[in-house]
Amino acid sequence: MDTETAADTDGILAEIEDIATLAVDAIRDAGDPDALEAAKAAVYGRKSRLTEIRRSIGSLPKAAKPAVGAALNKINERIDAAIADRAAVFAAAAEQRLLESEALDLTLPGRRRRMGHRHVITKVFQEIADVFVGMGYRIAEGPEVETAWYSFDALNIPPTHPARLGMDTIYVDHPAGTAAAATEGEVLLRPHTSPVQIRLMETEPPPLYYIVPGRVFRNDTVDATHASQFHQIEGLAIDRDLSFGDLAGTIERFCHEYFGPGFDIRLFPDFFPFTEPSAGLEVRWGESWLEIAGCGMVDPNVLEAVGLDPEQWQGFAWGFGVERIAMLRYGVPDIRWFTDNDVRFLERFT
Amino acid sequence: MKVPMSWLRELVAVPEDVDTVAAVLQDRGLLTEEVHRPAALDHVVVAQVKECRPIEGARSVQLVVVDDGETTDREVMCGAFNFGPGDKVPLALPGSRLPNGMEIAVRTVASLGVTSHGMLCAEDELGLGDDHSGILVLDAAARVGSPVSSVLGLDETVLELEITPNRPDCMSMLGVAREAGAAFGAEVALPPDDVVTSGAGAAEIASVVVEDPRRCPRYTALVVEGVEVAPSPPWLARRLLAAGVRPINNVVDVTNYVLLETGQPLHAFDLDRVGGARIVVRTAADGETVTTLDGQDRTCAATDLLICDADGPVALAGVMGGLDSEVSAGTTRILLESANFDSASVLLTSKRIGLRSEASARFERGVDPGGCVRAARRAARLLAELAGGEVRPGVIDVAAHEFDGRDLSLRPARVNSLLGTDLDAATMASLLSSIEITATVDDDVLHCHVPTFRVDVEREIDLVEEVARLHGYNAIERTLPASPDRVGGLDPTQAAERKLRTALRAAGLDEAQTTSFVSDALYESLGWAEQARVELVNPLREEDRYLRTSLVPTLLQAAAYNVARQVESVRLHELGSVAAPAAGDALPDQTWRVALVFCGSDLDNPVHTGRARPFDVFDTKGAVELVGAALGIDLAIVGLAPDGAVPPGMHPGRSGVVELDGARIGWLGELHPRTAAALDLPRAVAVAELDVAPLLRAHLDRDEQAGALSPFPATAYDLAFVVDEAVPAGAVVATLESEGAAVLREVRLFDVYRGEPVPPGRKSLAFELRFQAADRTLRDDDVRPVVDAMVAAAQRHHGATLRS
Repeated sequence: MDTETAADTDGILAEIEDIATLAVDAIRDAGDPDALEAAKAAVYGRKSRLTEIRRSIGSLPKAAKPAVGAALNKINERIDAAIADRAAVFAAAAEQRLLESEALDLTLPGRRRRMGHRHVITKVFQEIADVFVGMGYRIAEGPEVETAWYSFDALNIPPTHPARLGMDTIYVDHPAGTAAAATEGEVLLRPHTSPVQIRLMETEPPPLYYIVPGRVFRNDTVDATHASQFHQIEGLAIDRDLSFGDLAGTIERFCHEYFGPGFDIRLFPDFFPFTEPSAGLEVRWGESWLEIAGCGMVDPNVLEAVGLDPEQWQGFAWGFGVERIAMLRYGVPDIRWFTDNDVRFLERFT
Repeated sequence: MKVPMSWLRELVAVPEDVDTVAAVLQDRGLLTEEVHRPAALDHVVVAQVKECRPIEGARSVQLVVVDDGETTDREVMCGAFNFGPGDKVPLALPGSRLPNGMEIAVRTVASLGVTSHGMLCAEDELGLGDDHSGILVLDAAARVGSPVSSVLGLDETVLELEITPNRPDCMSMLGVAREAGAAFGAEVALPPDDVVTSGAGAAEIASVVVEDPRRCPRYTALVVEGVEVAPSPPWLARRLLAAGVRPINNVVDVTNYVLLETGQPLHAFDLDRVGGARIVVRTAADGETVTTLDGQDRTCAATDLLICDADGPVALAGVMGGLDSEVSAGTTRILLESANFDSASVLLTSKRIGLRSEASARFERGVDPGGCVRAARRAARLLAELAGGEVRPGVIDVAAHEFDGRDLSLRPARVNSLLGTDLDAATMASLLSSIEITATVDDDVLHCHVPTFRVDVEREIDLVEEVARLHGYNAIERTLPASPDRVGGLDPTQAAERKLRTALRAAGLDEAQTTSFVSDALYESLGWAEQARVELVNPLREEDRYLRTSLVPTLLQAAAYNVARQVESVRLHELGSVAAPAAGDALPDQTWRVALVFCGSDLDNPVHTGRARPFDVFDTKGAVELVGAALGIDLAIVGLAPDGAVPPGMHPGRSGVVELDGARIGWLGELHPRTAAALDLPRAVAVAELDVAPLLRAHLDRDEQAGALSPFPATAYDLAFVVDEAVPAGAVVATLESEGAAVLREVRLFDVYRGEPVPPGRKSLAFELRFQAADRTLRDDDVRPVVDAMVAAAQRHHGATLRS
């Protein structure tokens, strides 16, 4: 390269550098996207000095071309980077403005989908069932309208038994159609869930470990603690060598699981026609003991009524009043609340 | 059973502390109902009314002048008028404090110009009961000025026990004493029953014939002559009062006293009024009548047992004595009945005539047949002591057989197996001996002899219970069943039912539990009066006459209950059993249903979708569809059901049936405005009811598999049709779906439009159709012919024109 050519080249390179410096300044000074576009056009536009220089590369001496080309590429990068930076600033500002315009008052209520509530009786049924399922039990149910055979006779309660006459059973006007129906006696609303024990033992060979939830009926005058229809949950276990100790242990474990570790139990002798020995069950509730269940070993007469040999099979049964447990556990003051279905009450339970 | 502690202590030594006694007895099965402590009735005395004077200017109170033993003319104001001069009444003196907290002071009512120096008390004010209907009039024999608490037997501690039906022996002081004695290791002191006799033998004076030995296994009688009927001595009267029995006269009181003491019901006949001095125990003829002590004519049934004299019935055996042979003031000769009657027979009679007495309450559970003579002699001794009676020698004793207890075998191994204990035979024998069951050990068996008073111990298992009871229920080690190979759980149907319940809650519906009973009135307001229902024989109330055939009526009642309490949005569901008559079957038809009701308005999103949106049938339809989706089953809601498919009382244009696989499983609809009004409900009420079993079955029958997920893009087409108003949108959807071929994935109806430019009587239905193939990206010429076919079918079947 001759000296003259070298001097020209130096001049061009210097000019390119100046253009870049001016352009980057202009870009950085652009106050809004329009100004940025103008600055961009000023440096890259068809009539800009930079475009002119780019076009003139072809006419430069061969020796000058690489240096000028390299310089042009380098300042392009600088300018593009400056444009991108500036554009990013504008984009960020625009996004910021958009988001600000979209701000909502989050103290307004959410778009609600109402969830219904579990009736507390169902809740208690399911809670108790879940504990016993964990202890290896299954669940059985039976009809609310029953025969006297299943409700009484098979349960060791013959027609003249005081427990049968004193139970305030509600009878149903139902024409006994078949001979089979006639042998099962009068039709009634079951006064306890125990008929299901009989139906279970009739249909399924032991061993049996079942709980039985359900609605029962008594012809009782309704007040704060009495209802003509209420719910029981009872248990039945039949196996080769179940004992009274197993019964007490089972209910004790249940009370500790369901009510809590401090809720100990104690038993006292009681009477039910379908169990012997029979026991009443009290649970420790703070300072006092509250009676919550009846239980006992299944009476041999009951086993015989369903064709099980009492020398081969033995078992136990227990029954809770579900309303009683719900009243204790969830502080329900009046048994009528369970059937009033006051929405304010229903909403208290999940 | 009320047990005055002083009486119990006379029979057996028990600890001073009544709570200790109560706790020990509870462990043995005698549960304490209540401990009655001595009433705090200081300065409440017996006063005799001398005069009752009206007070000028006051109609609801009077001025009563009484003699209180110290002041003979004390003036008190009183608001009751149920007594008169001569009556003895409780007087609370100034300075006394009543059990209800009321403090009595001298009180002057200036406006009436009267001063009251104390207060006459009603039953409730003394803490005796609930009766506030008038002043408690005391026994005429009460001594003026004496403390009312002693006159009423309130000055001692009484343990009130709840006796289980299997322990009639403990419906007596002696029975309780035996249990307490066994528990505390104390001897029971039997009250003396030896009598001095004189004169002619009882058998020469009276005779007894038992014609029905099954219903009357034993009838014993004693004759006491020369009796003078008079009030009982205070100790006896007070003891009866403390035990809850009202004193009458010495003769009746003695029979009641011995009944309480021994548990043996006794009856004193006026022998002079027993025709022929002859007692015949026989079964009643149907329709025969007897006039009982309370003056009522009782008509008998052939199952009743009668005590008759030579002329006819004189008593209902074991239930109540007769009026004609009752002991009266002039009675001098007494035939004392101490008999044993069959428990079932007494129970049936007392139940049938609705009369329960101290005697029947004991007979119906079983009375010691071995105790008749002792009780009779005990009563005779007291009659001699308290009524000047002369006991005639000999006991008339007509017995079907000997009564010497029962022999039972008890296998110790059986006891330990049933109880989970490890007791040896000797321990068991010793436990049993504490309650007078003697047991001798012989190889692997205990030979036990049960005394007659334990009528409930009949089987080996009864002895097992006795051993458990005496060993102590709480002394038995608590274990868990050892059966490692069992698995608990909900069965598939029960698990599905929980899903159903969750879905109903997710649909916004609170769970209700309504009564199983319905009335005529409720069904009439729904227009359901014609519906066959299962009727109850003995409903307590008219509202409870029938079993529900549907959950909807009572659910609507629950809605009305809330509406009446200003609840504007009621959303309820219920799962429950309904019944329908099924003549010929053993039981009525019973099915498990689910019902739901939307009543009032949706108030959930006032800001977002409007303050209150009245509910309509689409709320129930949406809930039913949600249930279907939650269970993964396809529930079809068919509108405008044929007659009879939807029960009466519904809006005819807004109700329909719910189908599952073409079978009808329920219905839904809005209430007819008239029905809503009749039930005091707002206009916007929508209900639905479904059978549960088919829902759960269909859910369980599904084959739940992942299947394939197409990786290829879907394409969407929007189409709008104009059809006649009468064309159901669902029908157009069904047509489009059936023409959609394999590539149609979904037809979504997203708009229904009426108005310009759609001509009147027609509507525009806008659909989004989505297409997708499993094996390729669909091109326009894959989809176009399918869309054309769908459009053509809509035109062909529904006269639909494509809206441009």
